Amino acid sequence: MTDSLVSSGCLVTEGTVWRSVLFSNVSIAEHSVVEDSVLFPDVEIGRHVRLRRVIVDKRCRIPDGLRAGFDLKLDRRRFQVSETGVTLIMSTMLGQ
Amino acid sequence: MLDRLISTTSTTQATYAMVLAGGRGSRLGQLTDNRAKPAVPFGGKFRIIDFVLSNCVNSGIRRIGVATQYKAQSLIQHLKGGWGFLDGRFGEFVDVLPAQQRLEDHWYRGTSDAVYQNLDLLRRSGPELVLVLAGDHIYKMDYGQLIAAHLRNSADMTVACLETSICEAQAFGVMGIDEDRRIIRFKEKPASPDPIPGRPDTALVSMGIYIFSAPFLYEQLARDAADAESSHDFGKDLIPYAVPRFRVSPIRSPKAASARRTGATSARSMPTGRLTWSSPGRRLISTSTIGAGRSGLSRNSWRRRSSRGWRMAPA
Repeated sequence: MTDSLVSSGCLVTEGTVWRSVLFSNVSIAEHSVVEDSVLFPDVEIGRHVRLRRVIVDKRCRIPDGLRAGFDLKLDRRRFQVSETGVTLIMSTMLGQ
Repeated sequence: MLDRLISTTSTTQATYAMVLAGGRGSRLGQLTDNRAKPAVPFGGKFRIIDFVLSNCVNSGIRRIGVATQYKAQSLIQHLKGGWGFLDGRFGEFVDVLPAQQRLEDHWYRGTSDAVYQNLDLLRRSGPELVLVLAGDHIYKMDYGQLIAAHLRNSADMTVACLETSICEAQAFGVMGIDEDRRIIRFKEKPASPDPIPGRPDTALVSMGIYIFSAPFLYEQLARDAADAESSHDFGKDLIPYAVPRFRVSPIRSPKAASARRTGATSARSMPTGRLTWSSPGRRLISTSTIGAGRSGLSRNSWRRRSSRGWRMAPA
């Protein structure tokens, strides 16, 4: 974990976090990499997830193996991407 | 130093802070689909509205109303859970003021209407001063200094301002000032902002932080509510109406030189710069449109009043 702001209640298990903000009660499972991202409260990140320049809204459960913030064309179809290339993931977009 | 001493004694205790947190907000996109902008999480374990509420409490203002309307549930829950520590028995509170069609058949139509519809609550609290704040701004500020400047001028209304570059100023309410640094115009989001005289690349923009002497605010709100043309907004209607009718003399505070406002309200970066305080001072020529003859409370009368009402245990 490097250059990040991590709140109380977060659980990071063998994951990597760079330059990110983790709100309360965020959990990150094994082998996931989160960089330049903001994870809102109660977000659960599965295994082998890769996030770059992503905002994840409250209570989202990111499924195993998801990659977001790399292929913006793909992200535009399934999530919301800002003008500056930041991807926003809401629970409705994940069908939750 | 003296400014702060004045304000900490009793003035901030006689101030009611009205936080406007009802706006829809569009620039945060789907983040505000389910919650109002002030309720958007920020900085690890906070929400945007915490900044304004912290500023109030840290400035000694402990009578706070939060006007809510749009998707307020998340915000109300947060206020209940995080800001319930003030004790109503000592006259300290963070009150939620939801739109409830109290006066007529409509919800809050604009920022000034949100205050107008809660006028009964305001009057019941009996404050000397009313501080009007936006719930979606992120900044740190000691309102005590602003209040002290307001009182020093015996002003009816004081507007907190920032200096910013001309091109950035187009997104804000811009103060047109003359050589004597008096505000002569106020335009909301102008295509060609008025520069500060002698500095063609700089403009003075409103931060959306207003302080009013209570009787003056009541007067203005009643007038604005009766105006069918008005959109009932502080920046668009009430302030532009008030500015040309008063003698407006900005005041600079060297202490606040480093105050900054940062960008929760805009995807673009907010202007940063020197904080300037502008106060419409006493009326130069008495106008008949605004309740004749009453300019701001003089400092002495204000002190007298505050020693009567608004008593609290000494800090």
